[in-house]
Amino acid sequence: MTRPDRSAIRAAIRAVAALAAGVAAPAAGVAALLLAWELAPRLGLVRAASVPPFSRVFAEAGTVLADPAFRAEVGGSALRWALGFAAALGIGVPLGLVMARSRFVRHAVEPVLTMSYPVPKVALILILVLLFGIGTLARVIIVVLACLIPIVISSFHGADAVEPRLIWSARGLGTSRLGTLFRVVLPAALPSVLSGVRLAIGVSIFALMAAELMIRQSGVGAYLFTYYDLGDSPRVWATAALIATAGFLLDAAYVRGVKFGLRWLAGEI
Amino acid sequence: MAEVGQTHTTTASASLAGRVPKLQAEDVGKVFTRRGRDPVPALRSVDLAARPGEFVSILGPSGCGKSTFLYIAAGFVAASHGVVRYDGVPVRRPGPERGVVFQEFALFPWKTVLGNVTYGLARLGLGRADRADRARHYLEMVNLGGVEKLYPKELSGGMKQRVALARTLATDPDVLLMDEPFGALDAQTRAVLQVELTGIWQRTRKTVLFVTHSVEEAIYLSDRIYVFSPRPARVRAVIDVELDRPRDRERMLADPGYPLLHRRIWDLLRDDTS
Amino acid sequence: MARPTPTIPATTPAPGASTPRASVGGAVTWLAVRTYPVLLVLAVWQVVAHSGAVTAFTLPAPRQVWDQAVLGWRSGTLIDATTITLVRILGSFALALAVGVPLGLLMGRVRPVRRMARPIVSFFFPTPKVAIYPALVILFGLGTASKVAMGFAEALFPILLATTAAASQVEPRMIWSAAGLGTSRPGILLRIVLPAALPAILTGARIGLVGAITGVFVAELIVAADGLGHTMAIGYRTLATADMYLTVVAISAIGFTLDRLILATRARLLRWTPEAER
Repeated sequence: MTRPDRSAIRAAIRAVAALAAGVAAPAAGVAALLLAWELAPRLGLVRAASVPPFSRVFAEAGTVLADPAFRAEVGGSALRWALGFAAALGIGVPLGLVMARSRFVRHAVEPVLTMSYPVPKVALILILVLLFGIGTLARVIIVVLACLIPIVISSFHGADAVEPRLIWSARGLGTSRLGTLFRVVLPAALPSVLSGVRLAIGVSIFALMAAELMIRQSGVGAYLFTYYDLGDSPRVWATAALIATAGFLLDAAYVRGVKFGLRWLAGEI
Repeated sequence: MAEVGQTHTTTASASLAGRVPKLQAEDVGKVFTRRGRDPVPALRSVDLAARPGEFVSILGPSGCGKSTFLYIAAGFVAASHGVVRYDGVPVRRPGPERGVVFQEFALFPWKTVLGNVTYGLARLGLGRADRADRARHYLEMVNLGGVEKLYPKELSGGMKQRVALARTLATDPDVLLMDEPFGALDAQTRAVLQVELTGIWQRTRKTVLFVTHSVEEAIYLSDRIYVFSPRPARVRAVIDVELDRPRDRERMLADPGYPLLHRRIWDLLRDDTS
Repeated sequence: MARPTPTIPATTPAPGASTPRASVGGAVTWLAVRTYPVLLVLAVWQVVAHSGAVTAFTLPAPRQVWDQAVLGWRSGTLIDATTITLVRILGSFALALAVGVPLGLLMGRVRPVRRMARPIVSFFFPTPKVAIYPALVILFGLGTASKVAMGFAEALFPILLATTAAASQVEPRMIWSAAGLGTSRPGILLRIVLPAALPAILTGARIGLVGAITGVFVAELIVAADGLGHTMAIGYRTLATADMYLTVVAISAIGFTLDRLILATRARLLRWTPEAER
């Protein structure tokens, strides 16, 4: 019996080939981008004073991370974001679920969503400052506003698509109307809710950064734009790269976390 | 009707001595490989041949790999070994000379009925007026008039399959490859379309390779039936259906030879425990 | 990398598909139900502005903002600012479509392209693009180009990701049918994959449009010499609060109108989908 051996070897060869295709091609894409960034200023294609090469920015990022002022700003930004995000979840998910189950609520809320959806929330930053001052509140509210629409819409769509027979059988088994909302509708709508939350994370960080750079009181966005005003381009590029990386890592961590925590979920979020 | 059904023990090509087959498969095998999974054999050494103008069916249990064989003949899927020849030339890619009809119709939902049927004609370089005329001709052939401007979503399953058939016929392919085309339809629609297909085939004299898992359908339509074994599929038996044509369903069911033939094929399909 | 994008409800049927209204009374009710949020906001605004709880400086009454609008209309400054912003939005949105749709089709159907582009796309998709704005100014200068670049960066990813996901999920038998009928590989991308992915592309475009508006407006807000964002920033700095509210109304009107246009286009282009029945 030589077949198992041969198939094992074949499997190994296939695995190596797949690894090469799966890792080499993406790595090539990233490497090309970074190489272009490194070489363009060094070859004089762009002014090195305004666009420092990648290695210089990479080194500067270490300095930024070690800067106590930056660390303090990160803490403040994270707190404001978490407050706004939690509030948006607390309002948005129940609202979306109720919309799907109650015709009246749905008809009341839908026009509000359609009308407010195309309004850029960042346009309200300075208005909120006018109304609530430059303190924490205005910035938390802007995070809530930015998160709310994707969360409400995805919760609504998820709950609206729940198989009615699922709800009927729960009702038949003696679950109350409110009980079905949390025991049947929410779990069934969860995949959709979670993908809405993912979108909300992205939009809300954008809104918070925009608010911080407009208000300039405190926060990572303020840190970035203060150095921009000072014309310290390595510091600007490094801070921007760190914020971008943080956004990416947060998103990746969210996706991994959901996949790990809810293994019964099929498909991607 | 002297003898109904005759099982060949010789290979398909041997039984065709003297005539060039339109479509010929030699030792065709297929193994599906996927990253991180064990390879799955789907077909094992299939020999098959269809003479010009012949109606040949592939009959087998569902999931046995008969559709895979059809996709290889169509050029959508590459065989792991062996070769399918069309007019003696190995098939490597899809071509307009081999028209395919799918169970799921695969109509273009963004095109109207007329748009679907003319689609292939535009590729052939016909003028706009010619295309519409020809499309209407084939829509009439499949008994579908007055629905040109409708979208597929507005049609019943039977009508969709008629459009799909007209779309394939319109480019005038030499060979029709049909993958359980009536499998998604209700019994009545299915029976009507079987009769219509027979009529069209008799008028156009195309070579047909027809995949099905219905014994009755295979007997009613075919000149010859290839009975496939379960996965990995191979040819279990080749059966000539020597019923008179044109066939009539009532007469066929009443024929004393029919139950015997049905029974024999059924036994071939069933006692595949090997 | 399928990222499902939730569809935003479109309460009002698009103009092309409007249902006939029987009576004038019916039409009034219909309009009132659809526009009640605007009326509600106006009413609350009016009441709060006159309640004395806030000063006319913090919250000018709707009437004051209206007067400001008339003033801006007569002097031409409002039209100018709106036109400039609108052109920038349309420019960045068009650019995002022109790049996002072809690239998305390729990423969805051509494996090497997908493998090369995926890490870069999945890095930039979730990052807050405001952080990159200083870089855009350095690269494109202080004028229109950096505003359009910012709008483009915000609009691109929803379009790109929706197109990629939809293109990768096209029913293979449909593609085979087309190939069997003699369609070439580029032809399949154009004639089969593009129309099949169109519903998802238009959903992505709707989200991308808001991205374009947000990006352009933020860019103008940060640093600019013209446009609605600039009007807002100047209003804040010179304490011309009525101008700030006027800006919000103007940018909202732009957003609302463009969103309606996309919905109308969608209704026209997608008559063949099962959902288009209503």
